[in-house]
Amino acid sequence: MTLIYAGLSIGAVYALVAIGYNIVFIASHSFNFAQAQLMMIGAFVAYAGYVTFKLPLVAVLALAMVVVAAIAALEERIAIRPVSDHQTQLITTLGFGTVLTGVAQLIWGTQPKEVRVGVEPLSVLGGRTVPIEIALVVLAIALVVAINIYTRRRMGGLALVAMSQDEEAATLRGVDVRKLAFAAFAVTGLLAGLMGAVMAPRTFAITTLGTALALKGFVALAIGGFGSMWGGLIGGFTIGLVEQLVGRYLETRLDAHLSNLSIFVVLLLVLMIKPTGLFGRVQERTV
Amino acid sequence: MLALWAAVRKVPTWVFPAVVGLVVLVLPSLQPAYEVTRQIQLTLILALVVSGLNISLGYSGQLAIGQVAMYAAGAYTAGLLSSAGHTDLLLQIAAAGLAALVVGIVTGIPGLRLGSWSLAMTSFFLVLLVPDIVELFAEETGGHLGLATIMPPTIFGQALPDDAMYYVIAVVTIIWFAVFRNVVASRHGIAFQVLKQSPVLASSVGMSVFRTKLTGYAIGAVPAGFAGALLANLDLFVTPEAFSFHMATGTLAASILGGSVSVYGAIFGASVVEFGNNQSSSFAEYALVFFGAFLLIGGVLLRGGVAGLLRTGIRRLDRAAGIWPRPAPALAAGGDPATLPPIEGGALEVKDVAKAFGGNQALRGVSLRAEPGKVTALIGPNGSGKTTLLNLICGFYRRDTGTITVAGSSIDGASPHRIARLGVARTFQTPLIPPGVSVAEVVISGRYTSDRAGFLSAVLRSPKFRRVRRRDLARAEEVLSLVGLAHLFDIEAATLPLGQRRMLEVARALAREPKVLLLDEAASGLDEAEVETLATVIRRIRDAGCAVILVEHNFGLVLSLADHIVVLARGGVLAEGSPAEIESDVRVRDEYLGIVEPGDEPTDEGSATVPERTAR
Amino acid sequence: MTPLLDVRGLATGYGDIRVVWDVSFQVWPGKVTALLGRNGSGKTTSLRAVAGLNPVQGGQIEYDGRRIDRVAAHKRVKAGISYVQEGKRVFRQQSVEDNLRLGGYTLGVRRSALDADIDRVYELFPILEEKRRHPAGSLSGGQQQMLAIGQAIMARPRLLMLDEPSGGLAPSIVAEVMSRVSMLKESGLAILLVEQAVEAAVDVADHVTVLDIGKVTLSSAVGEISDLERLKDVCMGRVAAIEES
Repeated sequence: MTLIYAGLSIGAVYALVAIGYNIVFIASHSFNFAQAQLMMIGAFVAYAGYVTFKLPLVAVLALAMVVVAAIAALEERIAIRPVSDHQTQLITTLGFGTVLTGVAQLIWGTQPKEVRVGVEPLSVLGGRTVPIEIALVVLAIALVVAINIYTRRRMGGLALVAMSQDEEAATLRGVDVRKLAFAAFAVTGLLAGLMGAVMAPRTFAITTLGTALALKGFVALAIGGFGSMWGGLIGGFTIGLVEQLVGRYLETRLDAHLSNLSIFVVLLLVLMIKPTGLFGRVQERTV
Repeated sequence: MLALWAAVRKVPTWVFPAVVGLVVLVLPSLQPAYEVTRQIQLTLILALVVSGLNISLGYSGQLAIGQVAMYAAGAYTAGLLSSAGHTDLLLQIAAAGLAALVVGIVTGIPGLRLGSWSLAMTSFFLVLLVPDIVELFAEETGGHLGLATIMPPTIFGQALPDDAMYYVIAVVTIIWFAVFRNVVASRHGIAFQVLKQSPVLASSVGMSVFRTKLTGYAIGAVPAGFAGALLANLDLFVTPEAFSFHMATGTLAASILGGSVSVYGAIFGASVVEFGNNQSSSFAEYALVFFGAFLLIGGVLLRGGVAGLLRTGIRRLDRAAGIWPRPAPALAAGGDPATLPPIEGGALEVKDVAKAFGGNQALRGVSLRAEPGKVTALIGPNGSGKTTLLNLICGFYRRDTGTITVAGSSIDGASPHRIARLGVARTFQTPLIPPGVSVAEVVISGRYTSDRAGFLSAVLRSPKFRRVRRRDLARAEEVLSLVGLAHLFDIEAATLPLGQRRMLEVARALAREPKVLLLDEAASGLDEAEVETLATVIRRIRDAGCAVILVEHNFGLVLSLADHIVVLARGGVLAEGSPAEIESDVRVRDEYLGIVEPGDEPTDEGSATVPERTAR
Repeated sequence: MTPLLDVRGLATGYGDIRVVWDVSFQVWPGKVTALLGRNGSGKTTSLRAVAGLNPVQGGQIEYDGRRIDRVAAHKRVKAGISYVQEGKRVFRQQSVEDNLRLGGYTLGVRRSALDADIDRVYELFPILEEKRRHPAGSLSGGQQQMLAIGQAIMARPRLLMLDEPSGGLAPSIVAEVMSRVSMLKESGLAILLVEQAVEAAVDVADHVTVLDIGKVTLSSAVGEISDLERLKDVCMGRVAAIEES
């Protein structure tokens, strides 16, 4: 069971990355490679706030959210808005993400930074876990639920989904598409800050984390389907569990790192067998 | 000043890089510092990897960016061979190239069916896996500690002297770049760019998208493999740390900085990145920031990189010096530009074709025949099924029942590029013209599959290649004269106004002497004078023997030009006959102006599957 | 009476594909102006330019006395221009009721405050109330057309532009739709109706403008058109109507 908890919590992190991808995808049909790096910055800000400046928890979360939201707004302006085709967008967001990683390295160095939210391990249902693991899973699920409610109940949410289906028709209903896409992106940043801060105790704040998260988050996205929040959640949990199980049972046998490889295999299987993912309606358009 | 420029430009362009290559070869005799030669070696090795990226990302437009994984594959292959006693360098280089080729093709597979993001992420993921795979076979590869059992290289049994690696690296790089250059400065380079612009376009000129993409992945992988083998033998040590994301990002940055769609840009980008890497360790801290900035700036502002800037600059100077654009090539003696040599046209026969989409019966039992040497117009209101029929003929849909034959050969089940090779050529409502190619090159791309010269011929510039090139150019002159664009031979095609781009598409379609020519709303957006010119050209094409099919809204044009008109309505043929007959047919008029029954093809007809059609 | 919409010498297209060369027409409050012509004549393109989706490359568009050539499309909605595109472009994955709420986006009120407006739409198109919770994609063509019009009305427009509302509908449904258009006209809306179906349009129009390859070939009050057959010929581009009169 301990394994399951570990798998679900890291899976929640992957799911959170996928959620970020999904929001941006729904809002503007773009792919933000820097999503994971935004979360990483959130983790570092949390470290700075909590460990370096010893701020209270709420302030740390707020700080992380605001800082990352501002960075995301900047990214939208310089890496997404001026670029119209998907190929180049991948490169510019990759570039932005790399800059973020580089800056983080400059400020905080390359060693992992521990964020101790000093709480004792618990024993739940025969497995050991720590509150932060539970918090991550709860956060991921809560976010998906919240987003689903928002897109169904609030005008902004309705407009976002409408925009995603038919941008021109949405414009003709009075929706300022560009502003909304920008706002969605900034909100993704806000959420990334929160997610990063919450994941810091589990994953530590490390600069090398960004790319691995970005790639595995993509696998979660591919499994769940582009644009599907629940899909991303399930996808994330799936690969989190696969990673942990492979790590426990296969790796100890062969004494090698197979977890990444197993996720890669999952990715290939999904892309070959069901490219639209479990719940996706949109197949990523062929170039 | 400009006269000096003109004199310099008379020298063939390849001379300049060749001189640089010579300098590199000669450099060691000047006794430079060790750092300099090492820097150059590392730059050249990196340039090889970057060149692969230029081929797959720049020229072919595929986000296959896992070159670093192929680099690793090459390095370990060479290293393992050496450790096992096979120290022959040439063998290692070849094996490394092969290993990289396999990796490149395998990881390219997602890109064959899926889109850019999946391909990019898959190829990037591979980079993540390098240390894991190395660790998996730690016994053989030395794991994360590195492979230290590499023995000094030999060639043909002779041990290489210490400083010989420099020459080997230089020679391999020079040879590879010559190959690279010869490939892209040929019809193959244009073919890649056609694919990059649009797979639909590529199919329509007969290119197999599948094969072309695979070729792009393969050629993009090989130099990375070579680079790996060279690295292994340079340091006699291979460690997985050399194949990190840091390196992958640096490689991508080098490609973008130098200009992804360029040959020598790879060398420039590599030298900048390698130079940076070699600076003080404090630079290493800033490295990622710089790489990221290169990618950002390159993606947003500097499209085309340094090479692009250079090209623009060179063009400006050329123009100022009066040496560009070159005057229209002289016509072959005795040729009359106003007529086309006879084309063996073929009849297009559609028999009882039906097609339904879900519940919608878009076409119900349509039959028509387009004769060679005649203009057959296909007209009809919205929802009549014109678009569906067009797409069926071109192979983008499969018909449910009935047959379609071109000059007697059935096209059932054939893919679009096969149908193009059977002799069906088409133009698009929105002209599909790749950027960065000249008018002549656009026309030549139409002949890519009708006259063959393989990659090897291109690389070696064999006599066969030269013959094909001469035929390409001659045919380009011929059809460009016909459509009145001969004076624009060298101009960048994408910069032309709409009317001329339309004509260029017609010229491209003619390049392969098609049996059937499909003109998809070729008159839309043209002013009266341009429509007149179009009509004249169409008449000449008809007189040459082609079967011309005109899908049109412009009623006046249709009435004046067509020999036979077929009117579609609600998925069936409403009427057919001569212009006079159709003009006076009240049913036709009422069909256009009446109420269309439900149950027809998807209502957004104008924006059907073929992605490039503009929405109305 | 001054027109609410006054388009003069309009030139527009897609990128550098010029489809409309020189088109002029007016629309008055409480009246229907029909824009007729075959497909490809530039009717939709003209509407798109008025809606702000295509750039104005020549001429001008005056709405309520002001030039709106450069106003962003989404802002024109708030100013009172509602455009119902051809092809029933409703949001298929969302419910009928959510679609209508989206129509009221520019009213800037909370979701629940739109109920009165939604009820008004249900009065006009009762079938929509029956299907209020169904996804819009599950409706029939005619119902989707009504939903699209309902959406447009939610924004409380002063100018309503309808692009081929008869498209893909059976004659009886077309008659129903057109009768609603008459009702809307009576309530004071200025209506610009683009149609290929000449008879259906003439039944409800007050003024008729015919386009052919991006130019106007006839512009006349409906009352002055005596020969429907001749009108149809003009629409087909067979007869140069302007010279004849």
